[in-house]
Amino acid sequence: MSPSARADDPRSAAPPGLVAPAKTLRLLCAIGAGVDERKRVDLDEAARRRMIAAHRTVLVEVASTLSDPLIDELVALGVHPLDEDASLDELKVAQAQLLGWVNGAVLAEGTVVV
Amino acid sequence: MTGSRPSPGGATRSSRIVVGVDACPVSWIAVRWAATLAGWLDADVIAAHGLRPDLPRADVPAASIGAQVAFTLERDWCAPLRAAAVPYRLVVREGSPVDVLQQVVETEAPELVVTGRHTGAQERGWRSTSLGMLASPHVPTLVVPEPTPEAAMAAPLGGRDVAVRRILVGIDGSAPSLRALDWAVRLAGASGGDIVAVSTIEEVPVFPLGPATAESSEGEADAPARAAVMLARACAPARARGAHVHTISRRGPPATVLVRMATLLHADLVAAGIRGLGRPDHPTLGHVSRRLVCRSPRPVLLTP
Repeated sequence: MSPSARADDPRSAAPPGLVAPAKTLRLLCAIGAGVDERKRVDLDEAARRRMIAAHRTVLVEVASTLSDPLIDELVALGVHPLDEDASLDELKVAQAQLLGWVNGAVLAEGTVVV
Repeated sequence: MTGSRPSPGGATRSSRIVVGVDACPVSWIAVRWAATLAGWLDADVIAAHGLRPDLPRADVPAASIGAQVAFTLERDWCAPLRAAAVPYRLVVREGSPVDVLQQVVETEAPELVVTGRHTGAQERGWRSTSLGMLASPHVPTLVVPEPTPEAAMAAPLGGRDVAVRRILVGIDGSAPSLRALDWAVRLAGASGGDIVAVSTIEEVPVFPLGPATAESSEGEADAPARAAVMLARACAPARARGAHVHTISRRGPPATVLVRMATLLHADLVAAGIRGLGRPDHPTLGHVSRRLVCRSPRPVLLTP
């Protein structure tokens, strides 16, 4: 199977890796861009709410790309969607945790492929 | 034997919810769910209790016990309904909880049934009320699991209303699963939550060749794509109604996938359809429904 065909095919991944590595990589970039933007500007209330909503959505999309063992690992780490009333500091911690973990998962996948 | 709190101004609400009550923590949570859902659905609530005929009673007359139980249920266990200003009626009858609940459902024709699930009820020799209700699924049934000690501490008596920020729905394209999605859209619309629609591709080995056969079965390679298309079509009407719906297609046993995803994504409610492919003792309760009810630490809404 070609790498491109493997990328987004949920059936092609062997546990415990990523089910859709290309999508995970795209999400990693999105999460990183969100963190950069949050560092660059002072978030007003509307922006904080929007970023929390984005974090909830991104976590769903990340979950769709993970094999079962990786999902269990995320649960064990305590990564979870933020509540709407989460503080800015909670948002920072959650973003950093997700960014770091997804980055590691992508790196590990690349290491396995190589 | 009944007690009641009439609708404010005597008005009759448009729908009805039946909730099973007893003196257990899970019953308290089920009543809180019923109170919250009644507010969203503009429904009356009927709280039903079955006086177990098999419990020891010494020499106390049954009528006296019934009156005491009704008084206690009314005073203590219907408190969330009073707090939410929901019109309700308490029905106490002698009989097993399952039988009484089914009788009330037959006579009252509710839109929804809410019942708690006691962990290990069957091991204790009790008939499971939740599984018993789902065995004849005429109406959608919400099964609330017994809380962990931590959850019970976090939601003490008199605690805040139930919050539904995210609903996870299992979709297999069947009519019951689409009705589950419809319920999710209604509840998410009322609560302001979002919906995660999950379709699963279950690998069923073909006897006697084993798992390798599943890999080489015709059409198997396209199964994820077909599931994604089915999911997108199923969710299109919900999105058209303004619901915020995420979609996920995965391989694996449906109940296991739904429970795992609900845990990671902190779903407040898991919804699914009952397809009616069950065991002889519960012929209308399929294995997915049974596993969901028995394994999910989160409330499960099953729609016929």
